[in-house]
Amino acid sequence: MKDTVQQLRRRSKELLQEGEVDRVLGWRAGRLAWQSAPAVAESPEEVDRLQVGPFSASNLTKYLIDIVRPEHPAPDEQPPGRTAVWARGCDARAINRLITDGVLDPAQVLVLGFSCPGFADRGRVADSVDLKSADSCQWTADEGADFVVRTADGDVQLSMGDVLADRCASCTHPEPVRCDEEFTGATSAGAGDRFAALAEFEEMDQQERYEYWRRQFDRCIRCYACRNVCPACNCVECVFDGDLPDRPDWLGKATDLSDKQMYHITRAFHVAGRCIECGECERICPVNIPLRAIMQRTAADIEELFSEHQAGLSPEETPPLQSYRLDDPEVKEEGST
Amino acid sequence: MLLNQNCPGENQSPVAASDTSGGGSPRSEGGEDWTPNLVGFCCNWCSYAGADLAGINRLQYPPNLRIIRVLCSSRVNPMFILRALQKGADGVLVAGCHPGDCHYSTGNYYTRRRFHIFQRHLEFFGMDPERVRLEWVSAAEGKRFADVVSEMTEQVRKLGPNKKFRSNLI
Repeated sequence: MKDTVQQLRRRSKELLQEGEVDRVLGWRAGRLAWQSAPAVAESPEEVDRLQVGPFSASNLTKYLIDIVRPEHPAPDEQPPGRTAVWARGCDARAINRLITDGVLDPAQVLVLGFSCPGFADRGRVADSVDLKSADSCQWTADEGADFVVRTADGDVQLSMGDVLADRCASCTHPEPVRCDEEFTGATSAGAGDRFAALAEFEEMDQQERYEYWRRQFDRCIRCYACRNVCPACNCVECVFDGDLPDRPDWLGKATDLSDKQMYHITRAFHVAGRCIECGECERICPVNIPLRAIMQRTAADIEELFSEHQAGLSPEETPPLQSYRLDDPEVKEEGST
Repeated sequence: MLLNQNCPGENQSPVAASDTSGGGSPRSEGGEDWTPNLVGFCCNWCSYAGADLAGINRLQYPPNLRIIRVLCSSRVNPMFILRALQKGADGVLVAGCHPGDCHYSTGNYYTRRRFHIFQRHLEFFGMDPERVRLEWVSAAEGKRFADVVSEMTEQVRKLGPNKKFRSNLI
């Protein structure tokens, strides 16, 4: 992985020097060893702090929206120019999502794609390392995705395959699906079962599923982080933001289970067929609601009922719920499944 | 009414009034005499006219369905359905023109896909799929409209009152 990061930095510096792009979007080291934050480099010097670490998990595309469509633009706001983005498979698919949705003009972005090494699950790493005493987390070799966690008690070497986050294990596209320049490298992500999270629901009957989700949603604090982080949730005005004089208030302000259920059902339905399966919603959730399972269920239903489909593989796609076929199956023929 | 929570008529609205059932009999939830509250979204061009025809033909069907007219079945935002369930509906019917007959040419094709996914979605969260139904009823099918309402009323009556996703704040 070291090699890939060096190549990405070198190319990013060139692009900034030549004035090809106005900024480069990537990740930097976080405050703690197991953290990594999105970062913007606007000059070649700043590129040196960009990195891809074992914990650089966040999807960068929501920052692109802030760049091309600032929420509160300054009066003397300059046009956004062109942004280079370090992109893994899921970032590249999310960029396709934004292009399909008309949020992003392909000319505004230059995708520096690289093969994703997969990202580490903090909990799994914590099983073998005391992360509280960890100083840093670094790739060990030019190739491959092994990394070493430096702690006060010595170094611990880990293989990405052993500590891979669930969402990376079930990833189908670690390679960037569409990019302007590609930097190949090792990957330990992918080849997993795309619908792995659904297995536990097969055993449950209807009432058990209801109880299960009731318990999950009951924890929800409606922070809307799952919406804010989602590349498919890119509406200018969201249906859940009330307080608009000419708009209905769909959700009450009180803490009511029914409103939480309504929020989650609607959120998932709004991104149905458009979800690019990055799993950011689940990663970001402060109360650990298994949101990825919901999206997998919907994706599986769409595959079963309509057509083979994975969102974000091409910017020219038509989302399945924004299209139809004359011979789509009728609802009542299905009966209860 | 569904759109405005603070509508002054809210308390008299059929959806929110959970103390009387469609038949006017006392709504003792789960009791023998209980009959369901159904909300029907009928498209203006076919199903609403179909309901009208059922009336003109004096066909008998259970009075449990409250019809809300929409211009097209694809106008039915899934949030309408959720809001109805939240506010005390025991079942929701969405009715539109037969595929191919949509007044706007293609509206019901979108409805069909959307509804299919939405119904499965609700099912995944533990909802009885029988409570949420999509039917095609043309303007000439008064009899069919009556049959659909009878069948659905009977189905939902057997399932009993809906407690899932229901708001505690009404």
